[in-house]
Amino acid sequence: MKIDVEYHELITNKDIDRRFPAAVAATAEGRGLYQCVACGKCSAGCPISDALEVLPHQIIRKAILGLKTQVLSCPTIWVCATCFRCNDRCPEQVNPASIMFVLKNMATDEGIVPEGIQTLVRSLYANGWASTIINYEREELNLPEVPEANDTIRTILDRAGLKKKSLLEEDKG
Amino acid sequence: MGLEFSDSLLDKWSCCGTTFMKDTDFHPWLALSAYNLALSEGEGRDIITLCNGCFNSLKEGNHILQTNPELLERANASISPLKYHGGVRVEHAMSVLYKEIGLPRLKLYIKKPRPLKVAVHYGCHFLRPAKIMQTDNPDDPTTLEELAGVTGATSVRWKTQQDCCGAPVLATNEDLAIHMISKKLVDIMDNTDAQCVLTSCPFCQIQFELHQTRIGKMLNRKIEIPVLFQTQLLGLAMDLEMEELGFDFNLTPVDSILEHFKE
Ligand code: SF4
Ligand code: SF4
Repeated sequence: MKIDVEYHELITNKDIDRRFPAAVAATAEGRGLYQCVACGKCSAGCPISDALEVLPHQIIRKAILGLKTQVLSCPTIWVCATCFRCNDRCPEQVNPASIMFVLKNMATDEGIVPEGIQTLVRSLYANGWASTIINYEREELNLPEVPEANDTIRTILDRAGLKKKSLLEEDKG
Repeated sequence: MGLEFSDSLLDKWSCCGTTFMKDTDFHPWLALSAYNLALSEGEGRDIITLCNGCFNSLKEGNHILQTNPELLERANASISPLKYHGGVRVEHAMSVLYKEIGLPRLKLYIKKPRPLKVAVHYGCHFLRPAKIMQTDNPDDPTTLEELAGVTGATSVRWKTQQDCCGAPVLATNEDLAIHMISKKLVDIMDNTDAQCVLTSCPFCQIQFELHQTRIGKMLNRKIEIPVLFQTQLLGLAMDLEMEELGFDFNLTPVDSILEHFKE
């Protein structure tokens, strides 16, 4: 008798970075990581679960297992709509949405940032605003003009250690 | 209504950085929150926002700064000589109308109540994370329905009401963002008799308005429903000057709604 066994991705030791989950859990927003009981409630309520290849609870599980490369290169963390429904519904205060923020920060450290996000950060750094302010439209509404960007915002971002290499430099290859 | 506004900070405010900055770089994001909060604190003011994104970003930032002394100190180092001490309240304008002004007082201003049918959209960041935002029950909120009710409007119930509009996904996956809003628009049009959508976040507003034609083409059917900002309906019912209500900036045709207020 032939039994068809479908092998899901096999995890090997070289995929595992044992320091990774501890690094996530050491951040202010990531400290709930180890509390996950894999109940799947976060994924059940996620409004984009139908479009995700890797679901929120799988991201959390992979992070706990130390699958750093898989997690940081996974599109799920970036298309998460940050609706925070999973944070509210998780029975174990894992705060999956907050953990995705931590993972996106870590992906940024590795130079993995979607172009659309980079554009917004670049605009904020250059102009002080993420979106384009149209002064003639403000005039029609009798609103005062928005002044030119001053250096204050740039100074604050610099002092806070903005990851310029990942966020401001065009086309990192 | 007893609120006093200041525009003395207009030339100093910074963008809140919202999710894209928090996504990529936590500390600069928190420093921007600290900067805006410190400016308000310096003037002895609280912050009211008309945008869910700013509301969420500033209120979450405020919560972190108020509860984590280490992070507060680090953020303060980035914004010196300004310094934030944790003394500012951040509220959404709709919550202020609902909780502080209150419906009975608001009713006194209504001159043209109209029995419209509306579909209100809260937007995730108005409600969640609930422990921090503390506006309403995120699974069964009533704030916006009740505010619309003051104008005589009835709110329809719709299945996808509490789902995300997709706006935050626009920067990373436009197709998915449009898929998300199309589900909501189709739900409202097919399963309710709403005459318009009401939003209370500019980003949700854009998401509801901007893609209607495109989604119509995609689905090979007509997708067209007026989308008003909640304050626009309140303004109409209060009989405020038309020019003050900014209808020139709506991207969907709103004439069918304005009709009802022409006497
Ligand atoms: S809801 Fe919480 S505990 Fe359950 S799988 Fe998701 S993160 Fe884990
Ligand atoms: S915050 Fe992200 S992962 Fe959580 S439910 Fe919303 S879209 Fe899904």
